[in-house]
Amino acid sequence: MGVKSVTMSEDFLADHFPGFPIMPGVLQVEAISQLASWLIYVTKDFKVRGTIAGIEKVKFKDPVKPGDQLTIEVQIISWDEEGVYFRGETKANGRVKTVLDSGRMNFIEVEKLEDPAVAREHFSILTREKPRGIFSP
Amino acid sequence: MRFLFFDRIEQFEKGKEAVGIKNISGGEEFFLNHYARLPVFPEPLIIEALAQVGGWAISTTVHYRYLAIMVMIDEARFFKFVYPGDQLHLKVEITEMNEYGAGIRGTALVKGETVAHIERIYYTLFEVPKTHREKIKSAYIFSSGKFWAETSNE
Repeated sequence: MGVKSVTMSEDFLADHFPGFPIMPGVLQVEAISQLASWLIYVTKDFKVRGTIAGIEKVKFKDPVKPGDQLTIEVQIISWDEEGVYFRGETKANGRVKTVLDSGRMNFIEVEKLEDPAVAREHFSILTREKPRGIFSP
Repeated sequence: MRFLFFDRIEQFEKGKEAVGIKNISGGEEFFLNHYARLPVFPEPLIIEALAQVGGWAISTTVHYRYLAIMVMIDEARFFKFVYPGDQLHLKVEITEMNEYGAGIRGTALVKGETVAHIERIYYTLFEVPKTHREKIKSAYIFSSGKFWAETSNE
């Protein structure tokens, strides 16, 4: 499970839409996919990440507005040699905002995408591994 | 990050189809993280680009009285990575349209080769208050690249 806060200062809200700020649905798809990619990364011992190969049926049930805090949930449905199938949803204020029924991600080695040390560091920042280590050893 | 994912509308037939283009520039800021060693245009943004060309075509067909807001995506497939320097051709076909909503089918091509295909995107139509119509209209004309067609030459 992950969290993404939606703030008025995000500049995409200026264009989407002029006068009616709504968080773009595809960025929720991206958020769910990024979380799935991190889940692959941890499960596969920090060696591979995922890239999106297909998305089946996404429903945007309710607009996400500035000030909402999105909770993102993702589940891996199945694993095979080349990738995974996953599903996910986002919620805010106790309401389901977006449901992604099934998506496909293919594995890719981390070192092809970025410096593995940087990826590992990024992971520890996202999971708040660091502060916990420093403040309560 | 600005949220406009087409640079120009090349072809448009009211209520039927539209073709837009989007140049992928290495200067776009998301390439810093996506990914540090391999700049790949994020797949959901290909969906957005097709959806924006579709939304533009729908809103233009109804004279900017409605905004098309995406409510569903189905069967999106991505066949190849899209890199800086590529030019995306965004082909969109309006498959259905009534007073409540609209649907499109879209294909994205680079150099004539299909990089992504989406079988269905559905929109709900949101009535633009009269006070906002001019703003929406000018934003949509600006984004279509028609601004230049109308100001140059004649």
